[in-house]
Amino acid sequence: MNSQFKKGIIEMCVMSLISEKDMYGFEVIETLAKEIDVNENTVYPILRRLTVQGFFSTYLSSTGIAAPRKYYKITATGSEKVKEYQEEWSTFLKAVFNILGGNKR
Amino acid sequence: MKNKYLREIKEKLLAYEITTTELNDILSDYDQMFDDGLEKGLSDQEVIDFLGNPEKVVRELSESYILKSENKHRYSNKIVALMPFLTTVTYVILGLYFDLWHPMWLIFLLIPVVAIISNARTNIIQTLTALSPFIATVTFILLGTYLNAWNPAWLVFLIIPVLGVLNSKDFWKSFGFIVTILMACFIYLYAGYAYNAWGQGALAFFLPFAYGILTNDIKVSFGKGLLVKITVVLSLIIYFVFGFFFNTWGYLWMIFLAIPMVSIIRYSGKNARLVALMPFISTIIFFCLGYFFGLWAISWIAFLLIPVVAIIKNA
Repeated sequence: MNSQFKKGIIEMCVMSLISEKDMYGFEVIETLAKEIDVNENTVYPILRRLTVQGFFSTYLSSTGIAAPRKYYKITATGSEKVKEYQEEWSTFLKAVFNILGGNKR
Repeated sequence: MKNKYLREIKEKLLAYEITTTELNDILSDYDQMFDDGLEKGLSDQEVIDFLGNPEKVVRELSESYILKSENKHRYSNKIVALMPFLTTVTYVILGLYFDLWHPMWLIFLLIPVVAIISNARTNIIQTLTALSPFIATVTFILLGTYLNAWNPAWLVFLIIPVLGVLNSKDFWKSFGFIVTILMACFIYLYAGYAYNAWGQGALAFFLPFAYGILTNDIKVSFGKGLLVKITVVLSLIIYFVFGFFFNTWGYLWMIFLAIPMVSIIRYSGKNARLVALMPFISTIIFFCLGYFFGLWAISWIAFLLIPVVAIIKNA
């Protein structure tokens, strides 16, 4: 698969995961890696860019005696973007299945 | 293993346009993710495989967004380029309308200061160390000019080695050096103010100096070479001896400019050498013309040598 295309999909997945619950960096990579053959070194740069773009905010939180972790939280702009992505993605998938013949009408 | 991994990421990131805050933030994130991986029971190598090798990580980071931050640097480079013009205009206005030719020539030090700040990539202590000669010079000249406190205002130059030694990773070495410097300052000031024994009090400065040499810390702030070390020792000796015997406190501070100058001559590339030396040469020309011949009103022109030489060398 084209790496840019895959990156775009991973970005969408990252946003979708964090819109469901706040997560820390390693948790995001781990969750994604369970489902997709993800090129791990692309996940953190994506997290960082989306934070810089204002789709995520971050905060520190610690559990027990461990050092505080940086958690990523979806912002209002981020939530809107996720909705937009989901709609675009579902329209796109429908169209692809139509072309590939996988979608029974 | 983790430290090596983080160090490699840091070294590779430094090749890009990146601010200190961004750099530290990225490193702290990878530090945390590495620990998270180890906590999950992965081995060092497994964590590295999981996070990506430093080369790939940095390439992805640079492709993702870091290169975009070049705009910010382009903007700050414009400010750096404008500084000679801005400072000259400000200086002429302050001189003509408020007769502040001296000591407002200090405003020209903003040229290298702004350049250092805008190019600050490493940690805050390293940036402050680079700025410390300028901070010390400004404080020294202002205290000397307005309060006639050349002595003990020269003590402010001690922030240069103090900040330099703070770059050391060995906490106790730094701590010991700073404590000996503070002790020496206290002894010097007490002997001076209580008994008017400035000369004897100054002997206390052999304490941090000896400590610095013993622990090999002196080199942290002044470079590694013997030549630079000798310059440091000679500058201190000349400054003190001439100060006490000939009362040259007011202008012999320029001898300390020899330390960075020797360092530049010794370690910088041939092409960059003259440009790097110009701020110091200009300061010496400016101060000598002003101090010895009362030519403050025109001697500031010496600072124009900085951009002129830079332009000629880069042309």
